[in-house]
Amino acid sequence: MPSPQFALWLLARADRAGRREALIGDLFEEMAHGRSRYWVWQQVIGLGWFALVARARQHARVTPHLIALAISLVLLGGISLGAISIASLSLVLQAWAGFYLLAGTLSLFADVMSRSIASRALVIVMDTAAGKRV
Amino acid sequence: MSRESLGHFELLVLLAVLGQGDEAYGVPIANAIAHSTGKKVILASVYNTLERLEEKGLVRSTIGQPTPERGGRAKRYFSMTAAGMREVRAAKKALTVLWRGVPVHEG
Repeated sequence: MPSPQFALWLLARADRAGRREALIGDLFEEMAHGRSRYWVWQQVIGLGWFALVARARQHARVTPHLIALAISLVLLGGISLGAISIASLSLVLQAWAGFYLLAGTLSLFADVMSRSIASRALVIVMDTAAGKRV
Repeated sequence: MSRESLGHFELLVLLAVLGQGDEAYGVPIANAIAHSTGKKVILASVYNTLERLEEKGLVRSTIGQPTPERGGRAKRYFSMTAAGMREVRAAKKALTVLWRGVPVHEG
């Protein structure tokens, strides 16, 4: 097993804010007192893991992409485990595409209507500003 | 007791802090928990829990003197606050009451 000195040095360099200073100091002290390399490596890996989880928690946001990815993974997992058949998946996709088309059409219609009303209002405002009779 | 109950590991950490007295810093706390539970303890999890407990106002920390064997880094000593003591007592009381309700808990 390689010496954990380099890993500790890297950890110390990465901890510029000094948040893990006490912990890194503890690891150095334990090494000086003869702790096994195995123990120190365990602690270093544990520290890396906890830092990763904390970072993920801090930055992870539920976005539409993430939801789509999660649904895809569930579907893929279901197919690979045999819980979902291709035929039932096809039905799900058809329903999804139908809903998407309907929602998209309604949204487009609403957008065109709102733009039309807004553009008419803008013309009236511009004409009024220019002194034209409406 | 506060609305948010103590977790199992949080309670272990608080008791270890109490048991270590003036020498309550990362390694002795982790060792005490490992000794009492018989499980391996990752120092990072102990520090994370201590930071959480400090945010809750259940422990406070002070920085010691840096030493060469620690690579010039100081120890961070932890001690229990009055609120922490109240939480531990409340947890003990709840556990004792629950244990009394268990018909056979020996052997």
